Amino acid sequence: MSSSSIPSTFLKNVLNNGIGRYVCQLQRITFVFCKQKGDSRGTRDFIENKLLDFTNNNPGVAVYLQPRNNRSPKLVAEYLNGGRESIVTAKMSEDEINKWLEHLRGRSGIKIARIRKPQHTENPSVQGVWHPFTNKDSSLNKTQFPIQELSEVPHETTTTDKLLEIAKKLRETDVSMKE
Amino acid sequence: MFLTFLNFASRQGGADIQWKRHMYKRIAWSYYGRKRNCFRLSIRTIERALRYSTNSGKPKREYYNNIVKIRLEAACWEHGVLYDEFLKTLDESSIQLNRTTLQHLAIYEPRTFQSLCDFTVKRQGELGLKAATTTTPSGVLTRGML
Amino acid sequence: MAHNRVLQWATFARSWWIYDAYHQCPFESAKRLCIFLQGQHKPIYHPLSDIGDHVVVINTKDISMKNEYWRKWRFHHHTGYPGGYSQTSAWRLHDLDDTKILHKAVYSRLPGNLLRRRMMRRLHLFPDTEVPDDILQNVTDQIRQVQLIPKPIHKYSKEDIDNFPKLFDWPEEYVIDYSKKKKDEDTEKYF
Repeated sequence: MSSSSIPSTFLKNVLNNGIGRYVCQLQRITFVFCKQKGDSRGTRDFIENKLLDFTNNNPGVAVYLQPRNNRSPKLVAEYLNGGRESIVTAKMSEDEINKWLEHLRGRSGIKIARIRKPQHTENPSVQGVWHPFTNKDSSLNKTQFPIQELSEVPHETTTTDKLLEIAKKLRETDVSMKE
Repeated sequence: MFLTFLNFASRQGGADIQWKRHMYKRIAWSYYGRKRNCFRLSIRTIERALRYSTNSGKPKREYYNNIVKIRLEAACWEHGVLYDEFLKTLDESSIQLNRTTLQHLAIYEPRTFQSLCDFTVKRQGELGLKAATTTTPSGVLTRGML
Repeated sequence: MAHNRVLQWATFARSWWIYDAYHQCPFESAKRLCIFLQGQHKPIYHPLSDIGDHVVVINTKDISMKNEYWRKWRFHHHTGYPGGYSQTSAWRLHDLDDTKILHKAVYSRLPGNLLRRRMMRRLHLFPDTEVPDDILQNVTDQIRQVQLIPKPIHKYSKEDIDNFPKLFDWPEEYVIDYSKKKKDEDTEKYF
């Protein structure tokens, strides 16, 4: 699939939440359900049996119950950053709804999107970002350009040099032999 | 006899066809003009876009790999190391960093990259007959020295 | 980090390089200069970001060419009008403008995108070592030459030439330099 059609973000978190202390980002949760219909049965069971446990454990979350006739049931969660998520809980069992509720409680409220890179940092460099003078010799600051040493191709010993050396040695030995 | 509604019924399709069209709409939502909303028009553009994205996978990878190669060559050149020697030495010494990470190090953590280059120089000096002629960079320990 | 905006000033700073073209092949030199003009010598290289450096080239009048290139290498030009085609040999172009050959070599070597003209404007060519001070004081580093400068025979001392090892001496009749050939009657009688 062409990547431009899918919304994408970088990895992020709300105000570094969880570093030091954790603030639950879920502020409000609304249970929408019908009092008679069969697909709301799981939701009704959940409200009867487990909702008080949830409210006791999470005093910071406001819980609303909203009975609506002949509508399919859903969970609507509202977050501290203004985000809003809803999940349709039709035909779900009590435990299944509990799992989805935990999912909503743990969310940060940021929209789910494709993440471009698996890692992200606000401080990309510890040693300092590269710049043109990072790896340069500081003696170049005082040099007056152009200079011959930096310009020349470094001379490597060639076969001609070796031959000349051998010839020089031979000549010396010849001279000493004659003497 | 009026039979047009039958045509409509057959063209409209059932729920499955609507879901299928919804699938394409997820791609076409950002298009301009009628190809955003009219299915017959959007499907042409979408198919072409998908074909492009499939075909451009390989050239795209080659393009980025080439950039990474040029960057690493430049970073190695600053420390007087050859690119091929550098990668080969890291590989045989089981320093498991890929090229993307290495070029990232060269930009953002230049001293770490410098130490890797120093290591390469030392290791190259140990190999073959070069050992006697090259100078030792300070602060580098290899297995050959131990 | 609060200073990221400032830190990138150093990272993307443009530096100046100097290159001595004395006895260098213009095409091999162009290959090396293009790396610096495009910014391929930096680990932050990207083809779309304009991060090339300035290059000052001196001694362009003393460039060298191999084989018969001075005579046989031709530069082409077409005005766009019918009959507007012309070609100039390298020695003639060099006669007209000392910097033109290197300019053309670098221009044809650079990628043909919209950045090419801008990169070419960062190439400063000078026929000899006389460079204006406002340009020379920007220079921070030097680019190495591409080939060894050959030592001509007249720069060797007579001692060196005499001591050069040889297996035999050429006979006196053997002609090495035709300009010094003696016009003897003996040699002419064969023809």
